[in-house]
Amino acid sequence: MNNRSPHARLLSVLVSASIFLTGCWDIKEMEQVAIIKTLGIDYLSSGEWQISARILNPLPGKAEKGGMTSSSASADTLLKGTGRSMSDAINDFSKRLPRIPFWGSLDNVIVGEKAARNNIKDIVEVHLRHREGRPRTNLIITKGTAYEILQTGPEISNNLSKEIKNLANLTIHRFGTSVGSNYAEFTQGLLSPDRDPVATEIKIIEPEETKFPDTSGPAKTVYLEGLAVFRGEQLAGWLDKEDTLGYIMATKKLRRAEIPYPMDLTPGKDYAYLIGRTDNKIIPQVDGEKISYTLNVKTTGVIVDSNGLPLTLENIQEVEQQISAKLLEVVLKTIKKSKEYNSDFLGFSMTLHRSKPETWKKIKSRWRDSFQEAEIKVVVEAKVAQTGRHGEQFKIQKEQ
Amino acid sequence: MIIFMTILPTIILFVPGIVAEKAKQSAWMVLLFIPPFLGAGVLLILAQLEKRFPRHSLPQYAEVILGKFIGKTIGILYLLFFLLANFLVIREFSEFVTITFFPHTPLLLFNIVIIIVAVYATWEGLEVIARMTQFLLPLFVVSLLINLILPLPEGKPGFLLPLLEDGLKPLLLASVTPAAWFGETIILALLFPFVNKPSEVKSKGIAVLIVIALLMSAETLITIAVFGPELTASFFIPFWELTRYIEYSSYVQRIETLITAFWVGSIMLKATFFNYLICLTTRQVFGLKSFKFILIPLALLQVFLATFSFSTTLELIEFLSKILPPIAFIFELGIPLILLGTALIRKQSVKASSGTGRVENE
Repeated sequence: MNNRSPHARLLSVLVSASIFLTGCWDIKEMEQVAIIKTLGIDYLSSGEWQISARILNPLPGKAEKGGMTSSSASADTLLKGTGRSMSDAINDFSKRLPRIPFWGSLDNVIVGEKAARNNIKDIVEVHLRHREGRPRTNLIITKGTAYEILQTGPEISNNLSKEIKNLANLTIHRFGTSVGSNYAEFTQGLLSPDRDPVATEIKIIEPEETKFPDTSGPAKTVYLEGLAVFRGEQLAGWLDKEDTLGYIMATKKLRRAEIPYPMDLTPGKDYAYLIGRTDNKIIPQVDGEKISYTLNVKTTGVIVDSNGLPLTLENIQEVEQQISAKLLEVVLKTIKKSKEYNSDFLGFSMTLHRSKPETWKKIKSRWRDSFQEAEIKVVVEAKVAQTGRHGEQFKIQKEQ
Repeated sequence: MIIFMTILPTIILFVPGIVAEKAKQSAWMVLLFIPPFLGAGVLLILAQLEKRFPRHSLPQYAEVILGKFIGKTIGILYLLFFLLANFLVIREFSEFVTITFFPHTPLLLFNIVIIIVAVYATWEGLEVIARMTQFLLPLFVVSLLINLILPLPEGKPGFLLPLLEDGLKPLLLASVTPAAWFGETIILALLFPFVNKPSEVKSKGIAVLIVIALLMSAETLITIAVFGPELTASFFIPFWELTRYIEYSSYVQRIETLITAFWVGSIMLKATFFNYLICLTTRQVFGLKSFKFILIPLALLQVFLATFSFSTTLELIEFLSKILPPIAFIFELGIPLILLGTALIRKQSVKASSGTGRVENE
């Protein structure tokens, strides 16, 4: 050994190392895998699972002629399978795949309403148990079937999966129509003893704009709006756009948002309040047997779209009060929904558990009833921090 | 440093889950109380024994204290204990790699690969192992820190409340398994003869234990803050899930591969180290001149045990969290304590200059 040069030894080590670097039994070549990007899970009325998938081919073979230029519209394939269990259904379409399915890049899982009602616990568990499943995959619920969602096309991105992923992760919380939900977050809510989970809702739209001769785009596309609310593992109901705004104000600490809220106090004089930041705090109070909560919400925003509203310093205070009153209604409506669905998705009981563990122990066994009985007070404080790039409104000289 | 690398790799993977299962959101406190104290206790006992029997290792002074027959028996028991510990380490390694990266590759292959490295390093001697530690430790600590800092923005401190919801009892129950791991300081029982400055071992060892306790506590804290106590408890390997959760836009994500690479390096080191101890104990107990010729048979035995002793991951986890701790306590705390007690009562000691127990590598 010693009379050999160090280079020869190094080389022999490198060569032998390369044997171990191939992955042994788990070898996967790029041209042999099919990357599953979006999965749709449905439960059919026949009692079978139907699973559809959007699959991306990393290195397209001969099937897609022309390469990059012609395949820009839809580079992914839609496959569907049915079976008595979820694995059965996946197997049903996998048998048509000449490539090995790869799940590590799964961006979104869309769950149809029936599947969500049937067994959301297993849907979540299967994914988190699967070796390649990642905790950050988006979990999205739809009122119809997931298969329908997967049939639509993207408007801006080059495939549907990317479109949904970016909607959920990058943009949606800024516009306040919904919030993204991923597996880890949803499961936390599902497993926790003191609150209920919510998940993003996805809807289909048939854009009218794509029908003109010079515009192109898919006949159907998707957008995210509203939330699906769960009571434990039961799908309890849905939140519409406004309820969702209430949910966001009550639970999320938003930064960099731009959520417009229309103020239609006097007809024809609507102006929009653009919510930029939200802060919130729930304070539980215990008075003997009685539990009550105070929810403080603070928002900071901008008025740009003033529609003739004079934006002077004195006026703004009055405007702020109007806005606060209006937003209070929104939050109260969401709380009403929460009690109606008997689902504590706003996390009131959670704060009780955290700050008053003694009381929590007493009501633990009947915490949902306790939440129903609790009195909830809401204080909303809206601030108008800026009026855009101008002070008062434009003064246009009228001709005599 | 070796203690550091011995204790950390195993603990890092499984502890947050095992601890969170019992102590829920207060789990991070578990690692600050009993386990490091147990480790320190073991260390102090060993230091006392070392003072009385300088340049002797545990099987050697066991023979002095309790006579040849019982001493030898204890030596053999330790040999079996290290064998058990090491094939568990090897199994943990292959189990982890198959769960996470190579589901179709047989465990046997990973067991063989890791034992080849271990055998080679043992053959080369303790100095090589120490140098390996020097090289791997900074890499490992840096990757660990990266992994703890990056998920911080995702953490919600609220998950840690309320503190000590069910009092101290769950904390005590939860500390059993990690305490067994901290007790792995017992390896010093065999290493004291090789340490250049035995007097420094005590202070440095305790410092290392404190650092480990803090790091582990931070890890558990962050994992719970990100996933919440319930989800943390249900994961097999919470640390790995935490790494997978790190995602900053499209660039910083999927860093688990990198982290795993360093982790594999460190667990390999641990396996090597235990392998060395097994060989060393065998040599001392049976009075062999060199352990080179028993290396291969022992390695084969370990591979065999690691591959066939458990059929599923569930069995392994069950064994690690329920059956191992009592066994470990006997060897880590019980026997050294008895030895020290007997030595104190019978006022036994050996002078350093006598040098009968002088052991050298080779």
